[in-house]
Amino acid sequence: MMKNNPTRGLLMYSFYSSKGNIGVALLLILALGITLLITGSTTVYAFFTLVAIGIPPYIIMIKMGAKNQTQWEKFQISMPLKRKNIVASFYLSIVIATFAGFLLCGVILGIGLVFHEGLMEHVIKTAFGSVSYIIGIALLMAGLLLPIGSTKFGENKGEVFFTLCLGIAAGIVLLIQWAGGKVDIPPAIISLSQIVIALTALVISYYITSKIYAKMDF
Amino acid sequence: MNAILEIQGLAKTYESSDFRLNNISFSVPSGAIMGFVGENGAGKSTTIGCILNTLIKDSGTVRIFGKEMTADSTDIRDGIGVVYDTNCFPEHLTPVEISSAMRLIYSKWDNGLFKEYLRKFKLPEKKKVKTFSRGMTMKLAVAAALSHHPNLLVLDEATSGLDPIVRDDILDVFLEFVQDENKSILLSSHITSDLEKVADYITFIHQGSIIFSEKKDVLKYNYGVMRCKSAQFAAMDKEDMLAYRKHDYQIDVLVADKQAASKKYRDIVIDNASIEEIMLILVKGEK
Repeated sequence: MMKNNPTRGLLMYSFYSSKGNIGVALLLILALGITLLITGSTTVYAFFTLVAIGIPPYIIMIKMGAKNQTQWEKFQISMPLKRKNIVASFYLSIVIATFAGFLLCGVILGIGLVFHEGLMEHVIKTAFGSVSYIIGIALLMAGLLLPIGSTKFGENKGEVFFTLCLGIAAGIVLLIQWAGGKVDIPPAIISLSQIVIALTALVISYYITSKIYAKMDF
Repeated sequence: MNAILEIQGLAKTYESSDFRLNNISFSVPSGAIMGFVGENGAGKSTTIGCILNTLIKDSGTVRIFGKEMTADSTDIRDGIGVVYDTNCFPEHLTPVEISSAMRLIYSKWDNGLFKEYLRKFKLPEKKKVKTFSRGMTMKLAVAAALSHHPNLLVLDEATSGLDPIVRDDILDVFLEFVQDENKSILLSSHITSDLEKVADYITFIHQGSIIFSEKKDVLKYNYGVMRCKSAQFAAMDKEDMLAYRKHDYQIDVLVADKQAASKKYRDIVIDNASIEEIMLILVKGEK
């Protein structure tokens, strides 16, 4: 008999629920990756980074919205799970998806760099900035979206909240870049602070969502 | 006989509606099936929500397996199987995937038993839940609820909307489950024929309050419906009536002691009361 690990069980549910969409996303990422390996184009590189890092957490968030349409959430509460385990699994799913995309991006990019010297120069100049920009937006967006989503504030308004949170997250990340540039902070530090701020926001968001979830009726 | 589930003074109000669960108290003995009956909106699902902690109760206590149920009582919930009236699983999952996640959540998850139920219910292992019919979905939910060896099954309208054949299959599984004296079922339903078939006890809820919680045999053998004409009804002692319902040419009177009533009112016909009739007279009749 296997030792039970509820959070892992919920992550597994999350992965299985998103499997179909992840497969499609993986095909898209691989297609872009192969195009990048063949062409070494900096435009493809920018698009590839965006898709590889941005799409996986996006899929997880979409699937979380879809779950609300069934009684899955209510059923989870009646299982031997603490409510905070359930909330933790939301956040872990998104962090894992973001970093899995990041890893995949890194592997394909690594291979690309072997074949394209020109690309190497471009990546060195921009990689840290663009990767931190995308990770920052994905995590910030999740941080904003999950507490709102957990209140079930109009499940049918999911798309509106999704777009709103994406806009706010992108705005915050751009603001950090703009403010950093104004006071002459080195780009690497700006990029790092984007990720640190996004992760901090995600931790704060987790505590807020846990508090909301603890008092919710399902 | 020890009670597996004991509810005392349970209350719940909603900010968004006038509905209120009023001081609910009843218990489910071990080795028994408790039929929890009431019309739509009577408070069955709210009571079950408070039992399982999916709803936060205002007051009262819920004790399961002798321990008080709280938000953190994962050990208690580990011993409860739950089936709701609709699909609970994410639609893109297959039964095999459900099983591999469930074994990480329930300490006594039994994959062999789950597969046995899948075979028994003729459910495909590798098809997505979204391709299942309603009957198949409910069978899957029952299979999952039973496959971690629970001691209490809580079924919230689990048989509603199913055809008689599927319902019969599922009810047989429930009867088999309570063969073990340490196991019990709380079966909420408004299909009274299901409860007539399997329940040992009946708890009737109406407008958020418990009207009665009795052994089914007590209802069956003691309760009766007197078919009265207007004059007979007028001559009856009001204290003998639990409730009555007027029809065009007849008044049905529900009595708690059929034997005593038949001796007292020799000229009035008294029939056995079915659960449905008891429910109808109590809900739609007057007191």
